[in-house]
Amino acid sequence: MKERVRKLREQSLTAEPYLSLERATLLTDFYETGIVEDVSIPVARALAFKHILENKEICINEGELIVGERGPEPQAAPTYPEICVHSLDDLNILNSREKISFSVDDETRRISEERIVPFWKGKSIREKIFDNMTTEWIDAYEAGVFTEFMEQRAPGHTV
Amino acid sequence: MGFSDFKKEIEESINNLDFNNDPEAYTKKEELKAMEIAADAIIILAKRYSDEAKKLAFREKDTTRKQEPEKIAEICSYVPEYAPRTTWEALQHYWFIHLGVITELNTWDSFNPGRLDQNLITFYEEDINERNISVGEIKELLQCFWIKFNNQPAPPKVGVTAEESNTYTDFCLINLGGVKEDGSNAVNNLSFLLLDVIEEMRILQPSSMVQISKETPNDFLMRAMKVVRTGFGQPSIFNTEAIVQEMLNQGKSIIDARNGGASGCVETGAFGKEAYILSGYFNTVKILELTLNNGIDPRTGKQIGLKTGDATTFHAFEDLFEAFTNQLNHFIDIKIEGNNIIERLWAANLPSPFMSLLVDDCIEKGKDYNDGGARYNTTYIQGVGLGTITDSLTSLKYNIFEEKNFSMNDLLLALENNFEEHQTIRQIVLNETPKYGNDDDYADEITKRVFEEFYKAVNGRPNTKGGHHRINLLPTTVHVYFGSVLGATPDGRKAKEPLSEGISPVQGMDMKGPTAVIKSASKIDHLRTGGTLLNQKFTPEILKKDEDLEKVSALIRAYFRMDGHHIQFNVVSADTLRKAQENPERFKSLIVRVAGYSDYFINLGESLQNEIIKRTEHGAI
Repeated sequence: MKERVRKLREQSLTAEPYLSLERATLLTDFYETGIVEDVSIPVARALAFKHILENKEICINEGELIVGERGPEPQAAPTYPEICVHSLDDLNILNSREKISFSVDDETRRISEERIVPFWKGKSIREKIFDNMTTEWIDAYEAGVFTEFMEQRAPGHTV
Repeated sequence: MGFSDFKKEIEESINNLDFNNDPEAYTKKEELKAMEIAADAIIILAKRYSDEAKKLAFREKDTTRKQEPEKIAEICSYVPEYAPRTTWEALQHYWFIHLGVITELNTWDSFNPGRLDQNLITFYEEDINERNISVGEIKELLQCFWIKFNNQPAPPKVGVTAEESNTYTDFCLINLGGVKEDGSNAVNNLSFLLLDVIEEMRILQPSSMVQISKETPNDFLMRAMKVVRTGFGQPSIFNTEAIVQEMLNQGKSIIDARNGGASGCVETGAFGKEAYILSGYFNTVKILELTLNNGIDPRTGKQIGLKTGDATTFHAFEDLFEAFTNQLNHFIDIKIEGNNIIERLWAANLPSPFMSLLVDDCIEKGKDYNDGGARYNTTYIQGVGLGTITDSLTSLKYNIFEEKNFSMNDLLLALENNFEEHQTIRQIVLNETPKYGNDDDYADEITKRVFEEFYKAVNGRPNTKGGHHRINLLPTTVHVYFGSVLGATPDGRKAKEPLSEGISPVQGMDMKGPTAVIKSASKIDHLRTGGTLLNQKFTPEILKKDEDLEKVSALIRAYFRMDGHHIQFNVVSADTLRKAQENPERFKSLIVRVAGYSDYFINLGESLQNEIIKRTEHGAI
């Protein structure tokens, strides 16, 4: 393994996963402009996507030959409040759970509390899904008869 | 194809809209406009990377070191707007697509470059033969590409979703090998080079697999097995003929089927042409618990199922099995009704115009990926706990209705008390009852019957996108969660313990060696599923010599001749795992196969760690 690859691999393995609100903030900025009221839903989604890609942090890691990070840097995990709004309790769980944790700093908590949660609460698809399910469905779900893949993540088993 | 080509297709599709006769023309136009905006967006992102690389080049004084950012700037100004011309461009092109998909929404499974050795081979050969690029340079590019996947942990999950898929892995599964469109062997030089990359990188993401067909040369399988032997659960091994036949059974064209593969854990798909949505795991063992309790969940005392009758009044096993089938159908109905609403909610509220650009025939139809735009639209329900449900039903049939070792009443009491003070019953059900995974038809017949009922309940029922519901059998980490909501079960499993994983036998209950396991596992009809998952555990000692690997290769070929879909191996001893549990800081880099993916052992919850330790360790092949 060449030195370049060794270093990049090391960086990837040692960086700690953390929650990044970059995407959530850009998305909220866009929705707050009110443009979405004037266009169709698919166009609104595409414009939101464009807004994120036009404004997100550009990150080129030292020595890498293939470039592009989803978040501002390696191991930054974005949130998707239009799908699932993380409450402050959720953030605490993510931050402190023993396995598969994501560190959440105070600034992230503050922005969540002041902007993200108030704007998206009641609008996420997760809430719409649970609101539209029958009592029988909810009972079976809570009993552990089945799980629901679409309640926090988007359809997309595709190559 | 570059995104400028997609934009041309969009324009054409808009021009073909018939506003006089097509009531959906306006809706289609809005969707197509959205796709065009999304195409522009990804080109903008690439240009921003190009600009940043130019700045880096400008700041670099050393003329040799300047060349690299200059090259990156040049590539990012060309792809993904235009179709790539070299391996480097192709990898960067794909990576922008990947970023687009995982930024637009948090799709289940991150996205996937698919048959990487097939997709890159032309670029690779031209690079080597015409551009004087060395194999070493291409390997370095591939390794840099690998790291990009590992830099992106799966989006944070909470609640039940975290329980069912508790990992940083985001299930990109790179496919190698398989067959070409004409059915001939697809393994090439790059397939071997990619195995070198997988072995050397030894990281969780991306996951990797090899497709083995009857045309696949043995040296490729052997090379793959040498990587498996290093003990980090990669690459996993798939049966190309099964994948192709599964797709034919679902009505796909043979060309689309041969160009497809498996993604995520083990899910069969027509690459680039199909939306195959996994809708949720289904707890077959909970169905039995509800049946034994007349539809009441013993954990809460709530009547959530049908009143299928007091279990103590069943005269024959068939009475019980009929009640089980009725409960099963009842809950599948509830699940599918929910799925059909949820699909509409996604289609209406969160279309994905960017992903729609990438999947045939969304542009042509002017329809979103989430609304049936893909050529094929499949909705899966994933059955879980095949081993545990088989052994539980077998135990009921054998001990209560046939051997009459104890009464239903006795058993229900023992289950209620978690076998405390019912040690005799537990010994009988654990040690003196037929079990799945030992090539024993008594148990395996039950496996087949459960499979058939689950298949009948789900398969072919329409979804809302012009496609159908299908089944597959895999668990990720849900077998731990599904076990946690269950009391003790008639197979001797104690309350809250994990279920069996995938289609693997109950942990520690397969005692006749791996050949018996594959014979049991192949009695269900894999070809009518969209994927099944079988894991086996070998001690490192028995795979030391190349001739040992040849034996395992023969085992794999035998399983695939019997139409098995997938098999994967942990090569680690229970002893090592126990040591890792005690001294996690000394085993930070220990990777194990969990279900359809690998993970760091120390990142697994304790019950999942114990589950893997309890799996039968084959000391002979």
